[in-house]
Amino acid sequence: MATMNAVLFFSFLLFAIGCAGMLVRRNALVMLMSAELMLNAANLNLIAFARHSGTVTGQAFALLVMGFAAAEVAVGLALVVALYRRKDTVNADDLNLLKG
Amino acid sequence: MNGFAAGLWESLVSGSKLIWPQIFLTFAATVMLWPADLFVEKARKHVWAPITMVILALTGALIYLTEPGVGFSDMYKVDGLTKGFQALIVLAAFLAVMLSQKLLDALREQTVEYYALILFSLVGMLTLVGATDLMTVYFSIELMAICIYILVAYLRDQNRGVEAGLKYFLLGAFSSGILLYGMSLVFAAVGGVTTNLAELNRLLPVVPQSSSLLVFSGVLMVLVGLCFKVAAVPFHMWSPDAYEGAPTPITAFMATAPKAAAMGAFLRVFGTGFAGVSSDWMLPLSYVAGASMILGNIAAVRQQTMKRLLAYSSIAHAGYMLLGVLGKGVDNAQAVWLYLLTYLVMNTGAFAVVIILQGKGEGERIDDFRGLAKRRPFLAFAMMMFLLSLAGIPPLVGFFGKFYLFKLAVESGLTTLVVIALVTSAISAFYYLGVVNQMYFKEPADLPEGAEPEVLSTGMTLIVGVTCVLTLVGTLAGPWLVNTMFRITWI
Amino acid sequence: MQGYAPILLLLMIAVSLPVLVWTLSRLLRPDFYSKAKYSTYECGITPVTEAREKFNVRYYLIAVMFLVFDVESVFLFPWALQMKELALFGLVEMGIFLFLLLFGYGYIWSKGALTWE
Repeated sequence: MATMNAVLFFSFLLFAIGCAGMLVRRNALVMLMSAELMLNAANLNLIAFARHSGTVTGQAFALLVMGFAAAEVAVGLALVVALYRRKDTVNADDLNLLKG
Repeated sequence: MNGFAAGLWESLVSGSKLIWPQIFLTFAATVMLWPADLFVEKARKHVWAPITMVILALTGALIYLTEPGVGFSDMYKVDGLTKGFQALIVLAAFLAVMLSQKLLDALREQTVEYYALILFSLVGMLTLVGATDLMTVYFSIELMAICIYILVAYLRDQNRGVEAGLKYFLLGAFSSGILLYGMSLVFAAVGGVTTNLAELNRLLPVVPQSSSLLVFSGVLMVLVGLCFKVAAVPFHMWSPDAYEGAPTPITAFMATAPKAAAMGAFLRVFGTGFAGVSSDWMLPLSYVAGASMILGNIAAVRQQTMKRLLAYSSIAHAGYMLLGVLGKGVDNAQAVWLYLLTYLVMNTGAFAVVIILQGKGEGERIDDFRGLAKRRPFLAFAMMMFLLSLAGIPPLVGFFGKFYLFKLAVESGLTTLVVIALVTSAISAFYYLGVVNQMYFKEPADLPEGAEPEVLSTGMTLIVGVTCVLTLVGTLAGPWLVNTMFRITWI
Repeated sequence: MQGYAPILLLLMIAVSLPVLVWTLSRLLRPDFYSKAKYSTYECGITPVTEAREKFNVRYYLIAVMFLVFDVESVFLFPWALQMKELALFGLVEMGIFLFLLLFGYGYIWSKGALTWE
């Protein structure tokens, strides 16, 4: 069980780094990477505990998450490129047209 | 074929009966994108709208015909809740496609992608409301959200559209990260054996003391993730911006269909999966519900644009609907369904009026509604009905939905929250009536000389007319609605 | 811990090999420097621009499409591991999956996303 605590601790660390990245960094690309880090923290939990219990549910879940993470990144990158073409910036603070 | 493969084949065959609507939608949308679109000239892309409507009507029929059952290793279930919410979602998509015509024609932005993306997001939503496993919940939420990110940024030649899309995307990615991490913690808490909601409901209340922190934080994170999707305070920041920047028909779509889907998921995940550990989430969720009602309604008061006003009002409405989740019972789920149905009618009507006015370059600002009653009495009357109904004034249909929801909430012992809901409903009447005041008691702004009111397109007149009539006399259909509502079950 | 001994051995070989090669070459090579030797490519070709260049936005487009198709192949791995048990059923399933990917490929092709200019 000690190993599982270590896994949880490590995945929480990853998740915290991802969270902090989303909240602190203002570069859209870095924010995208931070979001991926959060997903991977969850993946780590899923795979470790699936292995711990000897079932495959968690592993299948993790595979699924990987596929969706790729799709999400593709859409995110496309949006960032679209923004860059229009405004010459990838800084989230420059998204200031919509307020209220 | 050996036993293992034969077993899988059997489960696929029996399971596929449950997801015919989704299979049909996926197939139709894929063929639309490629190769069918190759045979449509650039100037004739608008033909995709009627085709999409036919596809949606057929999907509706398939949903009606689907027999209840469980499939795919208990990951997906068709029951009253699934079918009821699926019907709502398809109806919302149908109305959104109808609303889109005028705007897309005017902007010369008719493409097949627009319709295909709506259909793909629909696949996600239809699966979400029948999801009985955290895995299904996650992937259908993602499928729904990814398509909607693109739809929000659809008008990519406008700065506002791209900005709204990226904002929505970043916050959406953040929320799905939290949601997924929460799921992984719940999975870890039960020792990594299952993600099935029914199994979780059995295992979660009896986890050892050492794992109770995992359960608590996991359930809370799933709660946060879903609150993002229904735009409940304090996870609502994305919604006014996304609502304002998106093409208006997509705004109307976002206010209804994904909200209905996320509410369905909320009801099922928390009503069946996490019901055993309700002491962990009841208090946080009631704070979220209360805060949504208060903040949504107060922030709406000072809005200058109609789309943002409706965005904040939809945040408040999400707060009301969360009362149904807090009530936990099947009857509360029925009340949420009824509420969503009435909300769909009046909200679509209100957005239709905004779109009609937008065609002439106005309708964005609340000032544009000044003196509307003199210029276009029919539109002004319809808009007044929608707004009064949103405020929940009897005997309009909005009151009917609200009354039922609040009554059940009181019976479930949520008296404090219902008091907050009633007080904030009164506040909401203030800003809805502000718009009515602009329309009926203010002089019209100076119009350019000879500006003739343009002839309404048949589709738009139809939508406004039908939704207006439904708003007015929907309550008369009360017994029938309540009867239908009682078929929303999850057993 | 027993099973990890070969890995430790491998690690030691892997670390000592470059050290050995470096030391040997330092001992054996002639020390002979010139101006051309210090330039970027060490052979006289002068570099024309900065190394840190902005990439054409098209690279990102191709990269995004590559990413999607690349990661979808993650679903091939579980199938490959269980190919014998899944038998014909698995083969047909995978065929359907790849066929659907083909639709996506046809779509981006017909959109002209694969042509450079």
